Amino acid sequence: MHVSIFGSMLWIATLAAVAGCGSSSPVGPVRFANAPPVWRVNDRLDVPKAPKEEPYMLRYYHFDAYYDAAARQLRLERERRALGVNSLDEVPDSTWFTNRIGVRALTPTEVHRGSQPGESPESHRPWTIKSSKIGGTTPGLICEDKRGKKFLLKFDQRHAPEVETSASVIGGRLAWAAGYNVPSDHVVYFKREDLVIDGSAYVKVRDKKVPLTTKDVDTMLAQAAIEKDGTIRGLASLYIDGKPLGGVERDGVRDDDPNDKIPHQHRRDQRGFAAFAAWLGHNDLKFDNTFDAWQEDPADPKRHYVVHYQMDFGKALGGMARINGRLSADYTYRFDIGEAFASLLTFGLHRQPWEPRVDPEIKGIGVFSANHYDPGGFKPNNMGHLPALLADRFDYFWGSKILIRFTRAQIAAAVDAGRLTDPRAKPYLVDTLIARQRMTARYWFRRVSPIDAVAIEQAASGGPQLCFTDLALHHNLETAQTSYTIDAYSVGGKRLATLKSVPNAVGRSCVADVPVANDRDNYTVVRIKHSRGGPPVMVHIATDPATGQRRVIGLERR
Amino acid sequence: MIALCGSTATAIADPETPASEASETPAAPETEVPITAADVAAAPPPGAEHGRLDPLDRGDGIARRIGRGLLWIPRLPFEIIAQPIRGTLYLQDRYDIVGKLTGVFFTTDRKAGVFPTALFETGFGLNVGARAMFKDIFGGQEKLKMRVGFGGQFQRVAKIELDTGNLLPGPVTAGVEARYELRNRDHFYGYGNGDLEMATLPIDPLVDDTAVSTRFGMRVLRVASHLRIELPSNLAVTLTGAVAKKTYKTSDYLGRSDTPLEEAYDVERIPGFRDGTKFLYTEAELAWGTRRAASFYDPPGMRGAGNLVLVYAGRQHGFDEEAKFFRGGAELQHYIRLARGPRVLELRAYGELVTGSRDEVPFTELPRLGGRKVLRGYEVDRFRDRVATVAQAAYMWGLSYDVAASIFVDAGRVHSSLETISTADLRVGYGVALEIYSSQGMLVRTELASSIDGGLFAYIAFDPAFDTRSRVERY
Repeated sequence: MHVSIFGSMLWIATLAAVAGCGSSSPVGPVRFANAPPVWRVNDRLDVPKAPKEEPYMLRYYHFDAYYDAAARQLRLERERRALGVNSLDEVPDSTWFTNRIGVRALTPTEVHRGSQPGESPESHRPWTIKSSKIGGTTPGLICEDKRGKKFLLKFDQRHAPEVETSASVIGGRLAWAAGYNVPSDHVVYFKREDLVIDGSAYVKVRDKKVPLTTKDVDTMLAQAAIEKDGTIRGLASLYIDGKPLGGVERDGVRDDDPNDKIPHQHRRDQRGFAAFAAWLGHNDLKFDNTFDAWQEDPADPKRHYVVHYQMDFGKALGGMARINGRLSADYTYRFDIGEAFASLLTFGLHRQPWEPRVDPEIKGIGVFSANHYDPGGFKPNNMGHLPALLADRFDYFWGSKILIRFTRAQIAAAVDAGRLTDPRAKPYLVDTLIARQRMTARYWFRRVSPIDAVAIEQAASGGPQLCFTDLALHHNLETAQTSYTIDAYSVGGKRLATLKSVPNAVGRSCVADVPVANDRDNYTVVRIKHSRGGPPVMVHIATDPATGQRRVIGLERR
Repeated sequence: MIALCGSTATAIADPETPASEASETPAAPETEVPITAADVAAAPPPGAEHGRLDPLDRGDGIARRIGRGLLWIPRLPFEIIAQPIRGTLYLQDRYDIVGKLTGVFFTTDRKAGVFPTALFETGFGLNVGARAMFKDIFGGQEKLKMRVGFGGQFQRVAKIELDTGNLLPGPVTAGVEARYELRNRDHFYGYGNGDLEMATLPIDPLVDDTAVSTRFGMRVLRVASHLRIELPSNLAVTLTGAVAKKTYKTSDYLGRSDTPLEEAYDVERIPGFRDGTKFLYTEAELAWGTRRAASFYDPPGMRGAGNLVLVYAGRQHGFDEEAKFFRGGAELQHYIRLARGPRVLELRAYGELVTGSRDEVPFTELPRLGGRKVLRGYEVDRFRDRVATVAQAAYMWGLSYDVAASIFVDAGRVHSSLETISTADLRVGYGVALEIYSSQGMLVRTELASSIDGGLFAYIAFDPAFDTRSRVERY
């Protein structure tokens, strides 16, 4: 098998080199090994010693964002397609991402429960306060519930009740269902008397531990939104297992983690997260809202490796605007050089993209709506988060493919976990999320061919047929009558045939009699274009030497 | 990749629902089985999942490499500027150098501290010194501040200041201040609105408005106190009392365009110059202020709505047969939010007068215009006389959430009496400003100002342009 693949590789590489040298063949230089796609990578090799913890260097990080932006221009850096994708342009399971929604059954109940079902500390009171929260801008307490589970307890700000706590949970649930690792966050209700200060509890004042007092706790709670009957609503974020290593560096790899081989800024799962962030208005993308933990393997406690998390969605769903008053969030960087110059030079006549935003004025809901939402114009809060900055249309397309899989029931389940109390809030948020979900997908499906789920299937007649799904039609995002032109080529670029097909009611289309090239392994490249206009998708097909069956060995989106 | 399948059509009741949804959600356990190292033992490592035979990265083309080489020219100065800043920020974030230094000068709770200061003042030079601060010792946000300094605007300065914070009952605050200043670089341009000229013969400033750029020295001893009462409906009353002694001398400092005071002016005809002045000043001020950010969505401290109406009347009671006169003034501010952004029109009118005559009011006690606050685009204290009026307008617009630009124009003049007030021969200054805000309010404001009479002035300030200093601070 190895010899066969090596032989194929050498042969095809030679052909590719010839084809790529000055050839204007529509096939192009991309060639795939005649092998099934990889759906899991092994980045769980034992890391016996915990990698070092990376501190969040706030000022350096923010300055570097602008420095990097300028330096990249001066270095004339090329745009690069994302790495960490398999031959079908999909992301395999790893310590960064696990294919969930649309790949395996994911019931609304499971979405509602999130990453660690049954873990909410709410029913395990009283809570023992161990210390105050360190870092970040909002107050919080580090507590332990009756079971001994440690969690971070945060609160809504008084002027924005329920906004941050609900957004944290809803965003986390959706991110988890989409495939990301997230901490187990829960909206909790409790009374002041449920908080017991541990004898050794402390608050850090300028690197010095000072005993935490009742007054400190009351001062903190005075800033929080508290119900009239004294019930306090909070966000309990359970501690992530393992040794904390700080955030995920925005570029490069962890030098002391042998499993970290793909520069973070080029990881598809990290870049594609931008589509998800745009959908949710999760603009607070930064080092500090990611997390690496050195964890035990679930089956082998002696083995350790680094697992990567996304976290802190509290400023999503319009929270940044509603809590921090920054209406420009989602639309501009914190300091957006382009927008600032446009405003400066026009004496403010330039209308910034965020200006039409309107607060829906529903308790628990941020400044979040589908009106004036521009899926292509999303910008994170700062320019420091390289994966989002470098994300291209292919990354957004991949992210959109995932987010469009959420059904109304699944979205409603995630929203339900946010425990919003205003009866208008949940329906508004679900409708808004669905509207934005569809806008996001429609936008990117028009910029990258939404032909997907390409497979060789057996036709009713018994012969092989090439089948694919037009995701834009499948999700009812486009209504235009659509047909497909399928051109088959040899690897040398010789057109073998041109076929036509139309989709069925669910956007699936199949064509039989796709010609087979006479090249090695019958390597054939098929270009599929839909009639709505836009770039094609190139499907690479070869004969499986083991079974003699035709199979899709690669997908190249253009 | 979704395992989408089937060529059978499903009725679509809801356009947002994928047609095949019903068939693609098989029953399955509702708890995810975590992936283990054993599960992926045979899988390829990260980076080998692509299945591609052609090179993933074809490298840079020759044109890009040439371009990159050429861009080394601008990149070098860019790096020379940026790297020290990066390095400093890195060291600060990594080792909290400022925090550690602060720890040397302050107590752990930051309630008390003694620390050195260095301040460069444009046109005056470097001032170095030390400050001491004690705050919230009695839990009422009260403050005791002390300062000594040498150089710059002051040859020597020593100041002690106590503010009661919330210690007093109700909406009452009070403060006491004692100050000693030895100044050597203050400007004197004579009286009135005269154009700047070179001195030929010593001018009698009381009858000749010709302006010559000169400097003088001054020793000030002052003890002042104030009581401020916040009233309902955004009203506030401030009662102030001060005892001061000032003596004057010619300056031994000369700027590039300065003429020695005694060559330019007949110092005998400058009221108070020879003998100095000692006086008691009492004042009542009534203010109605509603200035605020126009919206929650504007940065805190970025005024976009509201008004300020402020009037005051004071009595300066000179000791030892010195002049006794009243000082009065009024200030109006109005903020109009034109649009989101925010885009704000800021308007201000300010007027001030003294009742004493030109020849009896000590020259440093006359209303003055010019400098960073009133009539920008002119030198500090460029115009002085018995009456001063100025109107200011600025258009401010947001560049980003916490950065705003503004253009402004100030027009004003001084007058020898109320009867001579006119809008003729107005002096007009104008300029641009950049303001940076923090979550607490204005962080810094930089201004570039000029005037119809020329000149260019750069200011850096840490408070809004339309914040007026009290008379005790100014005179």
